[in-house]
Amino acid sequence: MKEAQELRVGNFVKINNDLHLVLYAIYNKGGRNAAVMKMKMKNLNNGSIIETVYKANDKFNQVFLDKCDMQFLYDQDGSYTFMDQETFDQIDLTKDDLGDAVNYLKEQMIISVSMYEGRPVGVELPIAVELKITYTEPGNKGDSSGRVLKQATLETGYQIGVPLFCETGETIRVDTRNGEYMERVR
Amino acid sequence: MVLLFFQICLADSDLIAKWLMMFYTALMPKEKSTCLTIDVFCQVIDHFGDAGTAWRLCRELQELAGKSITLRLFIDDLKPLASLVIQPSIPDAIQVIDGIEVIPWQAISVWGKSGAHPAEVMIEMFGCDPPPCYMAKVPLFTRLILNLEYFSCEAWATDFHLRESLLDFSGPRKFFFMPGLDVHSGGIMSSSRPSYPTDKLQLSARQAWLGQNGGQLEWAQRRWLPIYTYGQDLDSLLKTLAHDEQKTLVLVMGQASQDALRSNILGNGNDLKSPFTVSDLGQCTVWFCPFFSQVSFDALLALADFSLVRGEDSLAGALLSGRPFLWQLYPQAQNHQLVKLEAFLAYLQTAWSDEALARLYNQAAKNFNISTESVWVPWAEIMAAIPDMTSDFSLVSASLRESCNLTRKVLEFSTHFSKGV
Repeated sequence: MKEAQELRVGNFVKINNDLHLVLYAIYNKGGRNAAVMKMKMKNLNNGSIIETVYKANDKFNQVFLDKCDMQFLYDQDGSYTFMDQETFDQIDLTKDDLGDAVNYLKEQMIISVSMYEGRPVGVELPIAVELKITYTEPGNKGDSSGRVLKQATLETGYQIGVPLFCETGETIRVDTRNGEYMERVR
Repeated sequence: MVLLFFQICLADSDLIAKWLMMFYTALMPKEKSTCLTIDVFCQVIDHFGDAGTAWRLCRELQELAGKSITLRLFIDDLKPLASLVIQPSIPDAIQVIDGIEVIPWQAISVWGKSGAHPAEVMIEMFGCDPPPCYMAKVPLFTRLILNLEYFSCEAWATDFHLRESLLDFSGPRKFFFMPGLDVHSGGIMSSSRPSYPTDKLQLSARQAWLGQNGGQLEWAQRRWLPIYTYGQDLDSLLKTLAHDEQKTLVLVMGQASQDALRSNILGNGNDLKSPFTVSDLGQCTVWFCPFFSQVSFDALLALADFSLVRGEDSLAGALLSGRPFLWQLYPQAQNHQLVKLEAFLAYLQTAWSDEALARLYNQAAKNFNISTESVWVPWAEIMAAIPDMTSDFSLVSASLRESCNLTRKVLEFSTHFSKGV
């Protein structure tokens, strides 16, 4: 059993037979030296998002999921095919299963897929990915500050703000935690 | 088997009647009781705050709701409760005190065997964890659990108020109930607290209080300064009062305060034999008071000119008295109580009619909470500012009474929830 104050973003807990993913957890000091928590959780059975509060020592059944490294092979008609790197079995994940991860997927990329009772329930990307700019407006010479941004479309179809000095065909590094430009890859 | 059953029934017409009654009772729709049942759980950690707050809540619920509720208090330590109701001791047994059923935690298994079961509404004082033998039955009988948390003026506390705490078992739903001073918070317990009497009635009210509580009637005309702290070194306060123009009666309550002030008095070379109950220091008389009941203590705060209080229950009493006071917060790790003090001072900021007064008060309040050693507060200026502070504090009291009645909010929420509103 895990206490509420030990839970972190990305942990999974079971409440009333439903699997919940912790999206955020905030800790506040109450009276004496007790503490209370506010958590945002996603019910993975029905997709609902809830904000709920707990005493810091409330107990949870933490669920440890099987994690598999899977290589992205291709996508077709909204279905994304992956191959388990150990068993070489192939599975199809939907856009819903992947969430924002679809913005960063390129062929042969390896991601971690969490499985619960044989069902994929979450994916974990590397913190940063390198993606090519397929189109962006030409930038102005001389603006190397990077503070002003322009729209760029990446090879995955994702649109991102990039500094004016970035050009079509260049590769950039993108932070998958917030979807933002990190740096140009030379 | 069926034939045997009918043969037995035909032989015994009484048995037929009993079976018919059983089937009739099972089929008839049950008439829902209109009386809301409430169980209050209290676990005593230290001092009198836990028991005091739980007992006050029970008294106020009983006063406000009368016969529309059935109320029980489950408490794990009866000693502080005995002090609060001024009884030498209370047996460790299920009993009724002032019309409220009191059940020691140790007696819950016995209580359960009698066929009793958890109430429709359960209140956990300060997030305590009721015994497992009680909680095992909760999913069957309880619809609502309220975690009545610690008081705070911080913004997050108002955000937490009436948020659900999702439980990992079916049956009741649980919500946090956050005491505070904001109108959107859970409020503070105010129904049982008197406000200050008018100037005309103050003298007679004080004389009556002194007569009931063992004080000397001649003290009624002095400036009254009750002290109930966690043991502050108040030597500087005593010296200020000893040389003040106005005569002051200092009423010292609680072991911690009394030990600290006795040390102050004896440390100044006064020729007194300990224990002593009254000490005259120039213009200041210090009375080491006996333990007062909750009712007497509440009345005292309303009769005082200025109080030094500690913890949550006394804070609420001081706020509702309409008289100025300094509040010593429960010390927390890494001095986190100072964060809570800042939130409280921010709340009071809107009440001040004078910026200079606000600055004086805020400085005094912070110094009062920084250390128990050699507390330095500008006591002379504070005493001189009492009349000005009183008018601001009286407005705060009026506002809180109007919109921040915790017990009323608890009852309304519980009642609406039980009706499915």
